[in-house]
Amino acid sequence: MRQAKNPFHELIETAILGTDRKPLNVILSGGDLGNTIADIGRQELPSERLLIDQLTAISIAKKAGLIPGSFTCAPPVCPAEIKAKVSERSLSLLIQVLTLEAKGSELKHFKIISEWLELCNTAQQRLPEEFVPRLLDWGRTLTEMHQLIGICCGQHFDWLLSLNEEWRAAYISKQNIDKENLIETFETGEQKERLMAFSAIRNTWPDEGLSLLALSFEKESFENKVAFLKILSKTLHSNDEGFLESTLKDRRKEVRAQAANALSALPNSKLQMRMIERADRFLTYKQNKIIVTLPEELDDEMLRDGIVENSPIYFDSRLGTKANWLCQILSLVPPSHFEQKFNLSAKALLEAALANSEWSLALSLALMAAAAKFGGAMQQALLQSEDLNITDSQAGLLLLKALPQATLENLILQKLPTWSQARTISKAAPRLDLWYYLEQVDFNWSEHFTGEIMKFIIKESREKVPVFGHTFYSNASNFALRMHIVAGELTDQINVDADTADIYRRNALERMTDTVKLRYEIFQSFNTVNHNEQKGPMP
Amino acid sequence: MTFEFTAEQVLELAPDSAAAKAGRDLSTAAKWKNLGKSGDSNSIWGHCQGSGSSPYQTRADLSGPAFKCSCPSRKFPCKHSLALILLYISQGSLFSESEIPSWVAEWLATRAITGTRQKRKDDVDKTSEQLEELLQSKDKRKRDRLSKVQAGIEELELFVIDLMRQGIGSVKKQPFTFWKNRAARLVDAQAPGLARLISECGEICARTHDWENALIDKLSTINLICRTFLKIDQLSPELKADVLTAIGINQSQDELLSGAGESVQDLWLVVGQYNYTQDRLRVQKSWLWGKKGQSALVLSFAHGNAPFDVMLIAGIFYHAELVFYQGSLRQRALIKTKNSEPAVAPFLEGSSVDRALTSYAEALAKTPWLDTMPMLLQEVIPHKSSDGKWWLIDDNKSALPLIAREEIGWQLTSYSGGQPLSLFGEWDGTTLKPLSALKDGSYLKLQTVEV
Repeated sequence: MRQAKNPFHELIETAILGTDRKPLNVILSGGDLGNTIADIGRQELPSERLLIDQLTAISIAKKAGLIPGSFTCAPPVCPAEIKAKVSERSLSLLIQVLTLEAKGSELKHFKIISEWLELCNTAQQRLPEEFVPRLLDWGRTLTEMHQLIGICCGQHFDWLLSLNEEWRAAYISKQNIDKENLIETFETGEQKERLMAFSAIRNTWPDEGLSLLALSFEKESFENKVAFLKILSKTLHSNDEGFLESTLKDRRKEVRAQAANALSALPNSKLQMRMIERADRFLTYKQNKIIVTLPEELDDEMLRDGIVENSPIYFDSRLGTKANWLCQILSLVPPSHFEQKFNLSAKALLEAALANSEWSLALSLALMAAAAKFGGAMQQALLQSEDLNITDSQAGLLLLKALPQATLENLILQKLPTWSQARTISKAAPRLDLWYYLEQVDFNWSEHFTGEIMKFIIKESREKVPVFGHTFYSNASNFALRMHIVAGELTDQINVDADTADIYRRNALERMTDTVKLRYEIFQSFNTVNHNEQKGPMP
Repeated sequence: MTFEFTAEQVLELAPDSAAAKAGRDLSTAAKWKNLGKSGDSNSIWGHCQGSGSSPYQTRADLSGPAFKCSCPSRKFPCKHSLALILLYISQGSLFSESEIPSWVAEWLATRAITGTRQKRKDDVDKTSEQLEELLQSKDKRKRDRLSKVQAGIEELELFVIDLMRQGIGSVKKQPFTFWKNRAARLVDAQAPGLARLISECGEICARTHDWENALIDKLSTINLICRTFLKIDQLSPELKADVLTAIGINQSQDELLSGAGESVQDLWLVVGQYNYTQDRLRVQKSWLWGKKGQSALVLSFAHGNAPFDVMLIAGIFYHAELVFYQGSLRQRALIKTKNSEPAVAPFLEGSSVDRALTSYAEALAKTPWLDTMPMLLQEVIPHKSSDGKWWLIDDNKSALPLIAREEIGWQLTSYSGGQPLSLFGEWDGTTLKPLSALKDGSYLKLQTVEV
């Protein structure tokens, strides 16, 4: 039997189809609303008029008679917070960073927000609960920040994660991981998840990590192979040699080069021995000079060991292809090998290399790359040499990048007076070089170093022809992020006067001072609250 | 001198995000000179060195707040005004109590004169005959307008009847111009309120789901207004005022302020506030809630970057005298006088879900075309049900559905921590749009985006 339609729905159907197609013939009665509609329907008016009036009655009745929903159980309650909330000022600054997002400034936000969270954690404070969801959304994919975010969100962190499945998946699964889960992620996850899972497995269970990779390696794309080998290289072990040797047979040169790079870092590896054997064929020492014999061809053995046709690291218009091969080979041999073989100190070996006027460039590039990789006395010899301009080549920048931060800072500070007084000292370093050096100093500059660099910038900002160039302009914000927080006390001394500075310089200086100031304000906002009497320690 | 605004509240006064950022950047002591304050006049001032040769004179009256700056910026408040207040909030000790400089005193005096201006001079100078003549021409204009509106409404009724004959299903695929043209005819008929409702019909038709019921509700509202207007001579003065307001015939603010409107003096909290754009006009909708339990809607308008004609900050208490527009429900109001009140927040009494719905039904009985009604719900807990909908549950376990973006829902949930709080929002008959939450004397403004 066909079920009777709800009379109200009949009216709505009529309204949708129109009285032309579905005549109005429903007369309702019973109940206040039914009687009202029936009364309207009894009026002698056109059916369209009756229809809209009846619909109007239903519409009002629907709104006026709404029955509220009903829930039987109450939502769970968040445990009471123990920590105090951050100050209004600290919060306002965090919002400022989160709000003023500009394209390309992700690193800036990441750095400043992580600094904010560190300070919040140190101060034993927490984010006000109403801002916790915003931070959870922001940090969803930033796994390295999850622990800090969790601490700074207080009790609300776990409570909200228990209510929100997406946050739970983003935060919990990566916090409480076990081996099985990691292996499953490695086997079935997305590319980024797989890399993270492999990194975690490799850090905790290196042998299992190696076996897993060996099993799946052949089926991986070459990009994945390179990425996995890079992760493997971070925690190299002699057990890895067999696997790495097998990957030297890979079809892709990028994979072979990455494997060779890893193998060369393994002390006394077979690859290192092969490279030493090759290098010995090409280099000899005679009359205080290194004599070079270039490789004749790029044979299969060399290709297998990761030597490529033209490595960009040694690209120089003054060098040919064979010299490039030689550089690649020499860069995989510890310089100490030649020091022992020719019975020379690092300094003497470098001098002997530079004495060969024909091949001094190739040899110096190779030695810089090798010193970057293997360290040793050759690093100091290269850095102290007055005949080399380190920042002229990629190999030189690799060397700077490889230095311990304190060493690099000291090196820059040693050179700073020559950069500062370039016009009066005849043999001064090229003045713009400073910024290339600074580019290589990663985060967390020391307090002393920051102070000296700031003094230099302040001085230059007041010069008629200052030393700022393109490298400074494009790195101004980065430098501001790397500086010690003490820089905030000096920013007011920088001259960004509109009348004297050109627009590029002014913009760069303003970007730098804005970023430093913001970081300093954040620091002060926590410092003021926590240490009213005495100034707290700089982070 | 007391001033309890937060930096975030001050930055909400900024005309755009660029001004807000510039204001923040300028709020450092190094950029300012001759900073001073006067507790008696509740004012602060300072000189800010800009790109010009002489520094800008910036001053602010904190009771408004109100600003004045000598910079040439067309934005209001300018970055210097914002920076001055932000600096006062963050480093109040930089402002020393001192004698008010003449350039500040003059401005304060001008403000005082403007505030106490009662009647326009040209009205005062008129003779009784001239006033009588003015009144007659005003009445004639009103009659002319009403007859225009009547013609427009009769045409609109025919349009609605046609829709019923053809069915609303037939207009689903009509372009927006179908509704826009109809709305334009109502604007010509001097019935902008009805024009807005017709435009909203077009927006409803663009929806992908549940458009039928919404369209029927909207057409029902239009039908009610039209039918009521056609019997305007038989209506009570309150209902007459209601229907004229719904049609878009505004009541004269001067008349209301000079005694036609009911005046209420109270301590008011700006409990909900959001901005939207309507016909290229920026509108700020501020809901006020009085200590005595009365709510009021204050609308402010502005073109482009111009400031709103009334400056109110959400979450702030004002001692104010409001004058309500005439109508069955005391809802929209004008501010006659106000001072910001940083005093201890009084307890604002809200209601349970059942009580709030009953109040809404009572309001509908008085004004059946009521668009939205403010609701202050007490002791409610926000909750997301398993089907992904947001609810507010009171201690009787009665619940109202919320219409809120995910981030607002979670912000509210986190703020409550599963504990009861007070929530203020706009109820449209089916869902509640949350605008703010109150808990333990603190106020949280929810960032609402008008759709």
